[in-house]
Amino acid sequence: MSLIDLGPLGLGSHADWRQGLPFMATARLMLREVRRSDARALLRLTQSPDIARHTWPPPPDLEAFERFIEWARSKRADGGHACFAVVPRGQTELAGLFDLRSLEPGFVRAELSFFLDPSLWGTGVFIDAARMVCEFAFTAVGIHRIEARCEVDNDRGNRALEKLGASNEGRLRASFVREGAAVDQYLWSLVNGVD
Amino acid sequence: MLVTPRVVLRELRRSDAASLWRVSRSPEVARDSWPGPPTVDAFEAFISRAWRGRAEGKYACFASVSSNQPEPTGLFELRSLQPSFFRAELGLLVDAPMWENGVFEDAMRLVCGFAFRTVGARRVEIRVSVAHARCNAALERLGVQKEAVLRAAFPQGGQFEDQYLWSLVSGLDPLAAP
Repeated sequence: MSLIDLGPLGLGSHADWRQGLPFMATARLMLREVRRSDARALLRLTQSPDIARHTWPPPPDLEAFERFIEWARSKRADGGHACFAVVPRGQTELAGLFDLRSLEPGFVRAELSFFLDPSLWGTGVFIDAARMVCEFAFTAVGIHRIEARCEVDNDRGNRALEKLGASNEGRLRASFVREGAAVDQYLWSLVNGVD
Repeated sequence: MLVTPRVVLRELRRSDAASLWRVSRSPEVARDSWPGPPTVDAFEAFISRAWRGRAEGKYACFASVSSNQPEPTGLFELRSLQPSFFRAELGLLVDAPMWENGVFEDAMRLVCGFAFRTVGARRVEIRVSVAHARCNAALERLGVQKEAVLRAAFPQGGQFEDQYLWSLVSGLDPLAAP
């Protein structure tokens, strides 16, 4: 099986993804566009303390998550956002999220944020999913540079980004808040054609 | 309206479109800026979007008018990167007259005071091409902190240039007094 199933739209056209994100798969997982029916699983996952300590406050309830999903899909149609659900092979429910957000009109530069069910940490699912999302970003969307931020004390997150091949570009002072306290983050990046 | 003897920062007006469009098209400014609205009409539409963004609480854009100039010669925009403006990005459009006689420094002090004391931002980030020596030197003089070199982050002449990421943090930096 190839790393990426190009799906009915294929990844060759820079315009097609605005009509709907492609389905992509490896032996370990599937990536597909987030759907309204994912709201309950997203709410449950983001309430996990292991995830919540590393993420900005999520939508507070089911209806707010449904609105977020509708917003993400509408922004995808506008060409400024791509939000993928991670579904482990053999399962039907979402177990993680990879979110690409344009930092400028034209999607030259994007911010990547993500989380995974803690039961999948260390299984290779992150690397599989991240590689597919980055390949999608560089190939289908035409993004030149992807940025990700991770708290300096999040060893697992920083190691995962390093393993992905991202470069640590600097330390951002007081750029995240955890339990009311400011926390530094590292800024990581992947540049198309360089990394 | 924010005022010093050398400069006034005020909200954009529709009548600013022509002068700011000219600023954005000048080669010296365009070299260091993302492509702006392509026409005066498109600049007017941008101004309308800026007003909407301000009303929604996620954007603030000031025209900068030097005391010796009849029209705006700069633009300072604050864009919320997180809900409630915890983290904001400051974008700059600065024409030649603003680099003289401390006008840029005055404008920076005004817009940062607005960001940290009025809006309540905790952190403001500024991205500047490494080649923009004048702007980088001015930020350094103002006590803004250089935190990262962003590889291939800015398109210029068919290639990508590195940028510096500068920041101000509330309570840590002189320009970011809460």
